[in-house]
Amino acid sequence: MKNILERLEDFPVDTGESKEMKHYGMVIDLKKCLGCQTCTVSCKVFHGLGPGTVRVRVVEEEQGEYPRVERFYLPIRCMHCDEPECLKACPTGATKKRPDGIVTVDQDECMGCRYCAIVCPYQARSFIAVERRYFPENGNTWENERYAEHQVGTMDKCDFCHERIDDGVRRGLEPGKDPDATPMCVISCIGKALYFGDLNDPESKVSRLIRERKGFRLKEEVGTRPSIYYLSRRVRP
Amino acid sequence: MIRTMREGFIFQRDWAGRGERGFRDQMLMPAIFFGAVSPGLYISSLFTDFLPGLWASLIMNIAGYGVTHLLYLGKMERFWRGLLNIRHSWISRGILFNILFTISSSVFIILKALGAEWGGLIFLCKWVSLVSALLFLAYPGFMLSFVKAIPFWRSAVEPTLFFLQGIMGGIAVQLLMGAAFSLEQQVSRMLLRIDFLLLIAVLVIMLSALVIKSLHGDAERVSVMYLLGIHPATKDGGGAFFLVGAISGGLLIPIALLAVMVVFSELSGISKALVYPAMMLQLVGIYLAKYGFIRAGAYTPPAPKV
Amino acid sequence: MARKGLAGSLREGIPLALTMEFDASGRLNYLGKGELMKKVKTYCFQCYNGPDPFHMVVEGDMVRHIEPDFDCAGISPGEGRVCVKAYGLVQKMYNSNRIKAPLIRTNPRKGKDEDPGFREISWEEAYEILAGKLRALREKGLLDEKGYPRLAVSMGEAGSPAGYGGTFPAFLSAWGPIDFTLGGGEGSKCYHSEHLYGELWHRAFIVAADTPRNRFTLSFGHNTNASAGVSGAMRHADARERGYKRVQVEPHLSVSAATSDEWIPIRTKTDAPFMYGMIHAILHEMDWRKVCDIDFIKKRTNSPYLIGPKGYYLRDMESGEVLIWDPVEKRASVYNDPSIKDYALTGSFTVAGKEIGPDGEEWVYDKVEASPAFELLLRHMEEYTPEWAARLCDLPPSTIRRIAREFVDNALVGEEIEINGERIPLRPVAVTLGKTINNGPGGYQACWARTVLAMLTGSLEVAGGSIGASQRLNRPHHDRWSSIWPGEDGFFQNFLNPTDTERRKDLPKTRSRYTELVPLVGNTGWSPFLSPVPHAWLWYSQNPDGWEKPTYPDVWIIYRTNPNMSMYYTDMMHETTKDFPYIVAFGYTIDETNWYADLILPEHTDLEGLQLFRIGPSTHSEAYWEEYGFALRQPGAPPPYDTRDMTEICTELADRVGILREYNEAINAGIMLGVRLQGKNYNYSLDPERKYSLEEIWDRLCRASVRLLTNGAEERDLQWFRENGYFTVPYPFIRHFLHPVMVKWGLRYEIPYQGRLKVIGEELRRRLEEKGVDWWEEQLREYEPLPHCEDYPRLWEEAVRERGDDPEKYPFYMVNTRSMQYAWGSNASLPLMAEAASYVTGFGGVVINASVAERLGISDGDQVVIESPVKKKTAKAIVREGIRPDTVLVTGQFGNWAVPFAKDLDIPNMNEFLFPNQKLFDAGGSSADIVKVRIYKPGNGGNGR
Ligand SMILES: Nc1nc2c(c(=O)[nH]1)N[C@H]1C(S)=C(S)[C@@H](COP(=O)(O)OP(=O)(O)OC[C@H]3O[C@@H](n4cnc5c(=O)[nH]c(N)nc54)[C@H](O)[C@@H]3O)O[C@H]1N2
Ligand SMILES: Nc1nc2c(c(=O)[nH]1)N[C@H]1C(S)=C(S)[C@@H](COP(=O)(O)OP(=O)(O)OC[C@H]3O[C@@H](n4cnc5c(=O)[nH]c(N)nc54)[C@H](O)[C@@H]3O)O[C@H]1N2
Ligand code: SF4
Ligand code: SF4
Ligand code: SF4
Ligand code: SF4
Ligand code: SF4
Ligand SMILES: [Mo]
Repeated sequence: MKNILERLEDFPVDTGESKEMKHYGMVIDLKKCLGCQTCTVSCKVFHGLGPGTVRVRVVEEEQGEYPRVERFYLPIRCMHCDEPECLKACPTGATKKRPDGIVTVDQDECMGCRYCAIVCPYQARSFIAVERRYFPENGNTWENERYAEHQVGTMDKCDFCHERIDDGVRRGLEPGKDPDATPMCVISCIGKALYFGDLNDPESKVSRLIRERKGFRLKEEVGTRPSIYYLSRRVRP
Repeated sequence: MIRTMREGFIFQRDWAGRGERGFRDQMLMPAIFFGAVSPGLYISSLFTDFLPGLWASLIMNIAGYGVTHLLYLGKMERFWRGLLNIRHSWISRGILFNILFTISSSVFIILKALGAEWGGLIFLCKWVSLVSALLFLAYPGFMLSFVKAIPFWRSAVEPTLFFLQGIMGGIAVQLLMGAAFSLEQQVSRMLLRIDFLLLIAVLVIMLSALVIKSLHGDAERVSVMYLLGIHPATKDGGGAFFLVGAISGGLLIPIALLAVMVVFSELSGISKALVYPAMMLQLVGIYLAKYGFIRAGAYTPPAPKV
Repeated sequence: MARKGLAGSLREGIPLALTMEFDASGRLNYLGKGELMKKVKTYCFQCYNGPDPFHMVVEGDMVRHIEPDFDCAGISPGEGRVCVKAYGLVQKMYNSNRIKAPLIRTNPRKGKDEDPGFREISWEEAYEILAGKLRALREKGLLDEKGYPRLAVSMGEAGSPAGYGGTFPAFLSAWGPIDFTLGGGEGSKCYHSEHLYGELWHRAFIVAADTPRNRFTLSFGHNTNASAGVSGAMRHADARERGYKRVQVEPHLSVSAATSDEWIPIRTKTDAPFMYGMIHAILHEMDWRKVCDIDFIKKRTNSPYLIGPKGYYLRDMESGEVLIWDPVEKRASVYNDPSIKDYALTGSFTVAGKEIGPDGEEWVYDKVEASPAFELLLRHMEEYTPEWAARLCDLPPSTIRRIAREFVDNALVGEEIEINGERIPLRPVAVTLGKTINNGPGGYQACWARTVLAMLTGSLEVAGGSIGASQRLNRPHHDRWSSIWPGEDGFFQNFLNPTDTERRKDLPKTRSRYTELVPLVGNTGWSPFLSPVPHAWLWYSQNPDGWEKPTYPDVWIIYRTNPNMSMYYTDMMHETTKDFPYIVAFGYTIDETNWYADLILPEHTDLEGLQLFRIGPSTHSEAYWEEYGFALRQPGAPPPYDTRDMTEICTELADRVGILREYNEAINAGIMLGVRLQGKNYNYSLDPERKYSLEEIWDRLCRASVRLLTNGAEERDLQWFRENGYFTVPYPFIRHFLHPVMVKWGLRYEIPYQGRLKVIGEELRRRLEEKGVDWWEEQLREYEPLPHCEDYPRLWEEAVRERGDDPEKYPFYMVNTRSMQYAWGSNASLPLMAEAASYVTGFGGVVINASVAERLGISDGDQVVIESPVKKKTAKAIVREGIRPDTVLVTGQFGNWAVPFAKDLDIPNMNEFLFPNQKLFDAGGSSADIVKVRIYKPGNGGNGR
């Protein structure tokens, strides 16, 4: 496999969009992520997801051989691609891309064919196949309430917590700065490894980080142009 | 089911029986199988003017493909929504092709069965059904080959293979039907010859695809290893069903059996006894080959080497 | 399936925007819910790294989810965030497998295989039964025939019950003498040596790095990313971003090693040898006069103190003060003589003086050769070469030398930094120790060597270096400066258990007999918990000759601890606890200890109860606050089951038992928070005869606490706290460092030479000999002024041999590690946590080195047998490169067979494999979580090499 880090020289944050428009994106600092799973769990609780359904996976990888071994953590959620494979694949149009770059699934329109899950290069989607419960034997108050927010037989994935963003923006808050307008995982991350903001604004924290620390994207070769950038764990030479 | 977070090369989990919905998750493979055999049978029956085959194709299309596919969907009552993205989605197109095929072939078969004299309509239905059958036959192959995320599927091999396998499957069913419905000797012989060629073509394409793909990239190699049963994930028997079922049972043995018949070029009683098993094996082989190809779809790992 | 919310409104064709509502306070209404959601402030104290404030987001009558509380970002070291465990609290509250009402045992037979047959009863019945039991007990007398308290109470979870127990401490104090020494694994399995010696050298319970200013952290198994909570995780993440270097020395690549700059795969239990090798390299291979902080060594440590031929401090004939040698004046002076020009660190001098030894014994010399402690240190360390250490550690000697070099190079000797307007030294190097490193044999040596490294670099209790977290044995707990005052010989005061015959006579008796066996642990509130708890248990079944077997407590109350899982030797624990006459548990779910209970009272969980608790300025860990004060824990929504608040339960019991007066008085005296209800210009005291409601009690404590913080100026009531969560006042950050107060009092740390320990150890030896105790020999060896160091893993091999088994048969050291998702076993019943933990290496089985696994024919995911000399169990193999070939690893404390959900996890517990051996205990009565095991595939005839 080609070393992805070597091919990252120039990815200026350029969505090709008007600077007037927002393009929400995320930056993940691999130096700071410690694999604690706070993001995964806070997201699950916030969105009321049942067992096994996660919107962000923190992939753990061990590389090398004893005694020269390294392990690192790579949080992966929907990349809110600029060229989403899922969007093209989705036969029903349930998958949509908003003007601000957020890719969503409308569960009312989804027919559960799972083509989007197959085509997603980041395996960012989970199919709600059956109603799974942590406490299957006895009806559980919380589960009864919260699982009603999702439809069995449809697709689930990270939606950048757009309810929080929309709600916040309407109240004059700034996504990425004001917690109430920022995704749950970002505000909960205890490594402070996650940043959120407007990629179209060259002065936003996310844009600056990408510029200054040469942010890169995963599987750039697929051409999906993700809105999530990573900051390398190593200081690049 | 709790997903693992430790991922190197991982296999797709959504198609071909890796789900939690019991038999409903198993329904995609029959759909794909009948989605190939039905139009294949239709085409071969059309060319050999074999009415029972046309009927059988229609039944397979509706019961074998339509119902199973619907059962596979998470929300089957919304299947019609699947037509809403014809511009981009191969599933949308597949549904469209299927609807076209179903309508045109039904009309054609009914008119033909009634012996109706509406030349223009018959002609139109015949050609629409033929074209839509061809498209319908090939669409799952295109559906796979457009998945950028899974390198193993990304080539012209898939549509080609899916196409050829469909025709082969159709021929196999038609020959099997010959036991119950009279099928002219020379038709059978012609079909056998074509089938023989198709078998060899599929074998060659399949093997060379495996070799080329395994040389092409890491994820492809992982998929090939899976099919050959030498990947750790093959504990579930992947190797056995592909090598034994799809290659040996589904291709090599039928080729051998047909070779015998082709050499003697005469359909004796003995060779008839060989045809049916060969065709059965061939059908099983097609199923397993498709199953294997779909299951073997592996993603490249998300993690860059650091 | 019922639908509502976002998708529902979309289906109805209403644009999302129109369904959003906000109330005046700007509270939000995500998802266009019809009802407003509100944020309720509370805190998490599931582990001792808290309390960490957060918001419950409540929708209608249900706690919907949890969010950080950024209002406290400026004051809390976690910046208002909470860790993964806190997000599990919603599931903890609504857990269908909770105990939902008081339970009474119906099966009189107790045993692991005997179903207790618990039956639900009403609270009224439960109160009457328990109060009746306790009344009867008081009538018999608080102490039994042998002088042990009849009531024993166990609280665990490393002190975190205090954040939940409400007025439980007041109830206990009202009761009278109680035995707290029948505990779980806390204390003895924790950072045990660090707890005891930490109070000597840091006046602290735990020693941490001053990470925000640190340049180089050398961590021996200090598993920050799992164990140091939000603040620890965050501070280290920030430091990584800034570019500090962290080296993790550990037998396996832990989650903390994963984010470190270097992983050094050391052989288990050889951490002390590694540090000894470093000290040798600094003292004997470098020019220590150049690389060390000489000024600090001379002025802040006992390095210049002269040591007499018997090994005690050499003292002035008249004053009895310790002597030092002034090389300028060429004469000996008492250490605090202001006219001293310089302090000799090396050499040998002829002086007059006297030594005072055990029991006041004196040796008087007109002329005697004496050397400074530092000279003795130099000689002592000579034999511990990096080569010697490297052999034990199974590492190249060059690694030890390189790390020693990096350590001194990063110390920046001479630098200063300004904090709160005060200039203090900046020595940005620190050594941190994880738990198995600092308990059991070798624990003292590791703590001592770490402190010597800090001494050499002057990084002891200064900016960037090693600093203590809040102290526990010495009061006040929350302010380190005010706990320091001058004691003997120029050191700060310590209160140890007496070792002289006179004062030992009327020591209170507990089942762990700590006042008699462990001088260092003292006799304050926390002492019983840090006492030789394992021995208290062991003596029930393995009592040494001549040593009194402890009596069973008439009533044993368990609260938030699960000794039958968390203590060593679980099988022995079951056998012992099943014979206890009457067990009462305040419980959450059934667990392996309350399985034996006669009565279980289910209490409110974290999101249901009401209580005020201290926050800041520091807790047991790397949580250093900028402010301190009080925070409220409060119910977010009505409790789903018939559970009660601890305060309510305690008031009710106090009343029914007939100790309401004492109970109220204990609250008035400030027993829970250190806050008296009466002060200069306020009086919120409870009328001792009246029974108060939960809210009344906490309302008064809220008011009094704020008065206390504001010197009587301000008042806040419960309602205010309900809305605002916490009240804090600034805490000058400089107070987190002892250095300024040491300078102010002119005090020295008793390092490197443990003169007092030598005296105490000798006295203790005599006292024990007088009693005929000869089985504390190994432990007495620890009282060395300059500790010797050896091959500690060998002890674990010998322990196998002493059982008549062959150590060769057990080629692996089994070690144990924590996971961030679990707080001990306390949240083991939550499937959400299991799911999160399963995403991290190590959870769910036994980790084994890849090449070893290959040799044994084991693949990832295989079931394998783990066998120690006492236990055999199967587990899932997790094959990884990141672990030493001679080591296997298990995570957490599972192996449950009673806790719902956890009992189906089938994960081995370290404690089942351990077996007692007196040589595996240190002087504090703690052992280490290490055992030799073999691993093989089932049916492979135990061929685990
Ligand atoms: N194998 C192994 N053993 C260890 C350790 C290890 O690393 N590995 N670590 C050791 C250390 S350092 C420590 S400090 C100890 C800690 O060990 P313990 O102090 O014994 O703590 P837990 O095992 O968590 O037991 C806490 C109990 O409280 C119950 N509980 C949970 N929530 C509530 C609640 O809200 N209310 C009430 N009333 N009860 C509740 C749980 O059911 C659980 O059984 O363990 C030691 N033992
Ligand atoms: N999430 C979470 N945090 C906690 C707790 C919890 O239960 N959960 N418990 C709290 C309590 S009570 C305590 S005492 C602390 C404990 O905190 P730590 O001591 O930091 O935690 P552990 O992971 O138990 O042990 C530290 C590491 O030492 C390694 N180790 C074992 N033996 C050796 C050895 O001989 N040498 C070296 N160098 N390393 C060795 C272990 O593999 C492990 O990775 O954590 C506290 N924080
Ligand atoms: S990451 Fe996957 S699901 Fe998300 S937008 Fe890209 S292709 Fe679609
Ligand atoms: S599963 Fe739903 S979202 Fe995914 S492609 Fe099919 S219809 Fe679209
Ligand atoms: S952005 Fe929101 S939905 Fe996406 S992973 Fe984070 S918390 Fe979950
Ligand atoms: S919460 Fe932050 S540090 Fe923890 S796993 Fe997620 S991204 Fe990494
Ligand atoms: S670190 Fe401990 S106290 Fe803090 S949020 Fe996590 S579990 Fe709670
Ligand atoms: Mo602990």
